[in-house]
Amino acid sequence: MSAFVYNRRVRDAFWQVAVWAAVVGLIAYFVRNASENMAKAGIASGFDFLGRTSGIELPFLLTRYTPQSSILDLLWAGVVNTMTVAFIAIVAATLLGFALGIARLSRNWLLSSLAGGYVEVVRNIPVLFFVLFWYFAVIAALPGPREAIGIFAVAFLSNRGLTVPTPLATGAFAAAALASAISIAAQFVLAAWVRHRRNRTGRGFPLWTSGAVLIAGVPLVAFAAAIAATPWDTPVLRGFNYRGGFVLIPEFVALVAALATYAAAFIAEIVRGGILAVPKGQLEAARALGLGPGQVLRLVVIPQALRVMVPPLTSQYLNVLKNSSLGAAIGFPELMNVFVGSALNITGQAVEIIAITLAIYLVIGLAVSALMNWYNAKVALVTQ
Amino acid sequence: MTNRVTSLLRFARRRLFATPLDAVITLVCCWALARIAEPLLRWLVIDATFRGATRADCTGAGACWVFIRARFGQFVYGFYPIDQRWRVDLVAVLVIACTALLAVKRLPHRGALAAGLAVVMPPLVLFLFYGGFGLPVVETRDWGGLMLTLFIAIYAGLLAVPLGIVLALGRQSRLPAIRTLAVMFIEFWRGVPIIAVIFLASLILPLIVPSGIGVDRLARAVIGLALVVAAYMAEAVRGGLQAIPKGQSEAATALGLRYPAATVLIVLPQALRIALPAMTNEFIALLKNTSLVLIVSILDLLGVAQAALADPAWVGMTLEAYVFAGSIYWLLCFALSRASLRLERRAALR
Amino acid sequence: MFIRGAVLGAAVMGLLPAVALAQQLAPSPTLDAIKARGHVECGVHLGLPGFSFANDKGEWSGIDVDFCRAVAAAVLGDAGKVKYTPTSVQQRWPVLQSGQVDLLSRNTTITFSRNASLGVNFQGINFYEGQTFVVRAKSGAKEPKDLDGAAICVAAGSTEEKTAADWYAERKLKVTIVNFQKNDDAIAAYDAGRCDAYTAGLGALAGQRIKLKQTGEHVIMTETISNDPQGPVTRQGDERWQAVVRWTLNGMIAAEALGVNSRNVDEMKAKSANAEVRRLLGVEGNFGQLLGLSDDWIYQVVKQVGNYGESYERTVGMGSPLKLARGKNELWTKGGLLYTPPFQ
Repeated sequence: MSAFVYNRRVRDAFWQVAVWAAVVGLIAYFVRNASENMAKAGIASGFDFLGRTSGIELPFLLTRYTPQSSILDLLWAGVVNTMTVAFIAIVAATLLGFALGIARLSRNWLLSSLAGGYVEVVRNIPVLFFVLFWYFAVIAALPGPREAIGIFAVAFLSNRGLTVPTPLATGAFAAAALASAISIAAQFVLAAWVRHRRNRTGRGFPLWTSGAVLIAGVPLVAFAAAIAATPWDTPVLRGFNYRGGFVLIPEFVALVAALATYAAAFIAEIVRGGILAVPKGQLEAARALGLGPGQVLRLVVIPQALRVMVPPLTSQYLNVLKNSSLGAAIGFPELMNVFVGSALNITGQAVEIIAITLAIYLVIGLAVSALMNWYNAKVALVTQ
Repeated sequence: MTNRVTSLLRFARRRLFATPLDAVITLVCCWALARIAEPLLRWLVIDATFRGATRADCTGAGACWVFIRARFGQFVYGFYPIDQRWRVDLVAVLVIACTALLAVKRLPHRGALAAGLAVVMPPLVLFLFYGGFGLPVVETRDWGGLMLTLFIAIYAGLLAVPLGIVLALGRQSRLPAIRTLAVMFIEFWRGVPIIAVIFLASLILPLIVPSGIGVDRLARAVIGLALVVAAYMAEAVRGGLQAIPKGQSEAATALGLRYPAATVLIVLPQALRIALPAMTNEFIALLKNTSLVLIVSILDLLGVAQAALADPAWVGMTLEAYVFAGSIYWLLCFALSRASLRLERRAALR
Repeated sequence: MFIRGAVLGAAVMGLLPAVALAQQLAPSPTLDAIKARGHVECGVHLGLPGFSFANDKGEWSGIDVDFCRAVAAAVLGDAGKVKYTPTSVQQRWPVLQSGQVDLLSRNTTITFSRNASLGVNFQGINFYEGQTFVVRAKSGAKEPKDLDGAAICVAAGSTEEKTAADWYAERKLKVTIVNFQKNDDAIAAYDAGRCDAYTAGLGALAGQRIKLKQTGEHVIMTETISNDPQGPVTRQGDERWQAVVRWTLNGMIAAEALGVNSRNVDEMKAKSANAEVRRLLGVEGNFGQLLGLSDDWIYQVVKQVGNYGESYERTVGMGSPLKLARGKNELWTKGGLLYTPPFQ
């Protein structure tokens, strides 16, 4: 008997079953209480509400949603807006963060202390302040629609947002995109061939020139041609505001700017830490091998720094995604605002709505994590 | 004197004007700094109004700090009854005194004293704030401002640390089922926005407890925040646990200690010391995130500031309120991050 | 139905002692809870001058707050025994549903779908609201249809958001609606120039307008695009508590109709020969006991809070900064819509 109790495998199994049973029991208890309480209060439950007409206007749309669409479509519009904001903010934050991180390491005292000062100020302020600050700053800085700043007389910037023309047909753009894709693929094939040949014969090839033509030149020409060939819906000032075109609302601009400038301060520290983590001997060895400063940075420092940087960068990217929920505070129609704000109020079904919202954030977050883990594995492999 | 001048000149040549590019960068930075600093200084100080009692006294083009002065009590105490505010002051004095006491390195039994205070202080502070046993009760709905911000951060932190340690141990556990559970819990709370969690806690908590039991509004927000912070704390503690060589726990086992004893006596004390800077950083993040409780109408520092803005007697004070509240957050977080940096350096020296 | 049955019962049992009567009352957990804890928990607006607004000392006032006070006077005999839970547009339903407040008195529009799907009941109308817009005077917009192409700031999930969207869609006019979490955020954005108009009820707008920096530069349109009757809300179930809330409101309106106000209520109680006044103030019959209250419950309401008209004038009417005329919120005998079933 005592041998049985003291058997390690038996004890292990006991603890695992006991802990899981306790957790499952607790959840079951919560669910039972909730359904009891809700039934008693006469609150509707279930997911039928998703099919109901929403009746809500959204000021910023990338989907085919209209107020006559269902609440499910409303949810999707919110998800798309959240992902758009998060994606653009992540790209901008990365660029800005790298610039700031490198500036902090600059030999120039003024530049490095300015970058350091920015990082210290921003990192110690709640992100909500930042979002509110940007919002009121953006609106205050821009003129009303009648005094809008025209950009080549086709786009207009005012406190109602940036109004840009929209194409009335998309055929030419599809063709341009296809041409660009083929051209970019050609550069990669060419690069592979050049590497192969260099390994065999040692002969070089002006890859930068071909890259400039194939990656930048061809798509530029293709899209320019497409722009010229497409009929446009140009915004015109009529009454209160510009009609026609697509409006990039100030809430969008403010939210992206706030998230990007906030995350950039954290990314700058990650970049600085990553670069400082590369041992000095590596640099000296690379220089001793006769590599130029650009090559040292590209071939030695960045690959090794990236390995240190990717995991913390991932969590910063996830923070940007999660912080995009603060769009609710400034009226940007992202997931939190349209779903936990508007839809919750129409339906009153708090439990279902919050469960859906949390699930969506988790799924997007897991997707971002998976992508970054894949990239991390790749970076880690390269340096081995 | 000349010595100082030459060293200054040498500094400028080396660190500001080393190359033509450097010189350009320096000049651009100077120009940008001037462009930003001038209007900022004007608004904050030069054109600002400091004296007066009402909005009419603010005639300058700059900030109206009169507003902050008039509302200062509310920014600090919220709607805490004026004749009871001494209790909050007393708590502040107590906390500062305890911190100062523990900062004395030569203090005998410093560790035991710290542990004792950590046990005694939270209930004592709760009693002083809330009342009962002779003190008039001040309900949590009357708490607010800076006092509430600090209360939420500290109590959510106190709940989160033990939970985080348990989760970190669970994640490092040998038993796969327990590891899975810990990972699921941690990743769930780390994966969702805090504002959604605060909503969740405030709307769902009353539903999942048996009917008839109320959960205080403030307690709900604290619990919601604590769950998220526990997940982050767990990751910080895990970092510390991973830094402890396996030989430590193996040696403890060889000495005849069982898992709980080996963990509590040998592994955790070392791991927590290493994890302390990371945990402090999580606490800073928590302090900043308390500002999100205003989404469920709890009037923390930012919430009180916003409530004050709705007063018709003080319209248009948005910037003043935000700048003031923001600076307080900044001061607190900056001080803490410096402390965390010092801890880190001290740990590195060992 | 319940009331009529109770009245009939009262006629039969008029002479029985109150104890015997109390035993016949339907159980009311909400009333019991209020009496046990000694105060009413009332859900109000975060801050809407005239309706529910806390000053810098945390003292609440407004027409919705007055109603909370009236309920406290009716149930506990002391209008001061109320605790307020400020709620945002989103929070109000869960706060009521989960039992954190006894009632919601928070300029909330009565709609069918809310009644049908949220597990709540509306207990009468304490304010007839009509949705309209505040615009800058220099924009030249005079009525809602002039806002074609405008950006409109609104609180997310309010009835106003939906009403405005429907109204403009029906007229094939294009407006941009910008949603905010709170009314205060929406009006701040309007003030900052983000929108051409801010939409809310006429009464709410009158209150919000004083929060604008240059009040004189803004005008409120007189034409409304909806009728939004607003009133106190309770959870479904607990019929006796619902009756208390409903008849407290009716009692305030009846007091005005019968000419009873806080100044003359003692005199009326002592001297009035009008049978309805005597019943209302608890001199005749035992109407209070029928609900488990004291017989002078409406007397306490009128004495401590006032009748409907007094409350209106003090909070949103001519005696307040809002200066709203009675309009629809006048007794039906004077051209308004206010009407109360008789106290019989």
